[in-house]
Amino acid sequence: MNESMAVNLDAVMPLLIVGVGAVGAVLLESLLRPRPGPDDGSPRRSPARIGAALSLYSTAVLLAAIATAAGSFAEDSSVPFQAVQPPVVLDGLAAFATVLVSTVGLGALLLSSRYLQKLRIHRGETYALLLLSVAGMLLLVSAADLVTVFLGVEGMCLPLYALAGLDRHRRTSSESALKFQLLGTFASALGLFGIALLYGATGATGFAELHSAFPEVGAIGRVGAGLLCAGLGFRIAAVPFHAWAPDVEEGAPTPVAAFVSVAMRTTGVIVLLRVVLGAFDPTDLAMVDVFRVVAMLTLSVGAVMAVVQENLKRLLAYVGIANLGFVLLAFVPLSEGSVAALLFSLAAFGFSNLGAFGILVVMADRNRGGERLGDFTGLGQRRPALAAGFSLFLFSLAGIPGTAGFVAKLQVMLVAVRSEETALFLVAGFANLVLLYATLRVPVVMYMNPEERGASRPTVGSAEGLVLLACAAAVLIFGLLPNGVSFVDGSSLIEWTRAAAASR
Amino acid sequence: MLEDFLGVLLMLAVAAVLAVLLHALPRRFGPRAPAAEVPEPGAISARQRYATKFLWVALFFALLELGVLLLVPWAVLFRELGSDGVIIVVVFALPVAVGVHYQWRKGVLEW
Repeated sequence: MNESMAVNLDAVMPLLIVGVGAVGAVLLESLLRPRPGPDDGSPRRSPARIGAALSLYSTAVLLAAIATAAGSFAEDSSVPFQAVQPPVVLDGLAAFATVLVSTVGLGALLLSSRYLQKLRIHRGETYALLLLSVAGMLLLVSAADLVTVFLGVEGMCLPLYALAGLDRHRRTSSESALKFQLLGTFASALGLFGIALLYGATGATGFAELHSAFPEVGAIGRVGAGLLCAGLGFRIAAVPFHAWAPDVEEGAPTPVAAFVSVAMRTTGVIVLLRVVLGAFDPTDLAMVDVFRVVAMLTLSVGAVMAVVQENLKRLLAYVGIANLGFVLLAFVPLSEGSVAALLFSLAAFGFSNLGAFGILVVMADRNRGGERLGDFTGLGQRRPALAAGFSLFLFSLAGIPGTAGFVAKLQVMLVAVRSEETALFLVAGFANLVLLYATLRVPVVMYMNPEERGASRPTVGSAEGLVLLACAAAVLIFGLLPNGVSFVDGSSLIEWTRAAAASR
Repeated sequence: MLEDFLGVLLMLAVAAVLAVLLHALPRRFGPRAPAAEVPEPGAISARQRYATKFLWVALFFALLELGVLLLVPWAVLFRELGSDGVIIVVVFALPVAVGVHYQWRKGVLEW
C-alpha cells in the first residue's frame, strides 16, 4: 500500500473497542448458551447467570471505550484516520460525544438486566445489539464524510429496531419495532438521496471539500442539503419529523426507550452539528430560517402535546421533543459559543432523561404496569426516595433552578438573546411554561393524592440504584455547581464543553 | 470503449437466449396439460404463512453470500494486494465466522 493509504488506528480506537466488543459479545453469548437438542447431562447455565456474565463483559467494554475517549480528550489533539480526506476524525467534539454516548449506553445497559428478567424477555442478544448500536453512534460522532454518516446511521439504527421489538409477544412492542423500522428506512432513503444530490452537485462527500464547494452549490445541492438535514431530523425527532418517537418509546422496553431517546438524539444532534458547521455554511440565511422555524415548532408541539399525556413514557417522549427544541436554539445560528451551550444541554437533558426513564424501569412490573400516571398515586408515601428522585429529574427537564436543566436552558436562551432572536426567545419561554405544567402534574399526583390500598411497592436493584444515584448526582452537580466540580483533567463540564467546541 | 463492454454484452446475450430457451422448450416438448394439483410457483396467496426456519436459512445464506462478495475480488487481486489483502480478508472473515458460529449454536442448522 502507498503512503496516502496509511491509517491511524488511534482515530477509531473507542469505536474499535466497542465494535470488537460487540462481536465478542455475540461469540460469548453463543458459547455460554446451552446447546440445543437433547440434554446431554452437562450442567445447565441459567439465563440469569449468562445475562450477568454478558452484562459484566459489556460494562467492561463500554468503560474501556470511555477511558480511551477521555484520554484522547485530555491530549487535546485532533487525530484524522488518514492524512488525505479522512472519513473519520477523532477531535475534541468527537471525544466528548463518545464519552457522553458511551456513558448513556452504560446506563441503559445497567438498567436492562433486572427489567428484562422481570418481563421474562431476558435474552443474551440484547447486550450485543446494544454494543453494536453504540459502535454505530461512535462512528457517527466522529464522522468527517457523508458516506461515514450513512454507514453510522445504519449501524446505529438497525440494532435499535430489533431492540425495540425485544418484547415480541406484546403488540405494542412489535408495533414499535415495525413503525421504527419503516420510518427509519424512509428517513435513511431521504438522507441517502440528499447525499447523492450533494455528491452530484459538488463531486465530493468529504466535509472539508463540501464546505469549500458549498457557496456555489446551486439549487440541486441545496435540495440535497435539505434532504440530508430532514433525514437527520427524523433521528432526533425534530418536529415535523417527530411522529414516530412517542409510539416507539411507549412500545419499546423502557431501557431501550431511554437509550433511543437519549443516546440516539445526542448522536443525531452532534452529526447535524458536524454537517451544518463542517460541510455546509452555518451562517447561510436560508438555513438559519429553516432551523428557526423547526426550533419553534419542536418547542411548541413538544410542550403542548406533553400536557395531555397520561402514559409517562409518552410524556417523557414529548418532554424530550420539547427539550430538543431548546437544543436547536443553538443552531440559530451556530457559533463556537452556541456549540458549547448545545453540548452542555445535551449532557444535562441526557442525564435527567436517563434518570426519569430509570424510575420508570424500577416501577415496571411483569404486566407492564407502572407506566401510567395513576400508578404513581401516593408514591411519595410508599417510596419517598423514588418519588423524590423522579421529582428531581422532572424538575430538571422542566428547567427549575438548582438543576442541570436550568443551567442548560439558561445557556441556550442566552445564545438566543445574543443573536437577537426575540421571537424565538419568547416562543421558548412560553413553551417552557407549558412544559412546567406538563411535568409538574407528576409530583402533584405523587405527593398530594392519597395512597391507594394494595398499590405495589417496587424495589430497586443495585445496578438500577447506581444509575439513579449517578444521574441524580449529575443533575444536582451540573445544576448547583456547573463551574465548581472538576473531572478527570481538572476542568468542569462547562470548560469541557467549551474546549470541545473550540477543538473541532 | 465499446470492446470493454463486449464481455458484458455477450453475457447478457447468453442470459437472454437461455431465458427464452428455458421458457420455449417445455412449451414445445413438455406435457400439453400440466397436472392440476401442481400450482404455478407464485400462484399461491401472498398471505400464506411460512415457518420462521426459512428466514433463518435465508439469513444464513445471506451471511455466506456476503463472504463470497469480498472473497471473489480478493481472489482476483490476490497477487497485487499481497499481505495487506490477507489482513483485510482475515479482519472481514472473523466477524462472519462469529456469525456462522452463532447461527450454528442457535440451532439454525437443525431441521
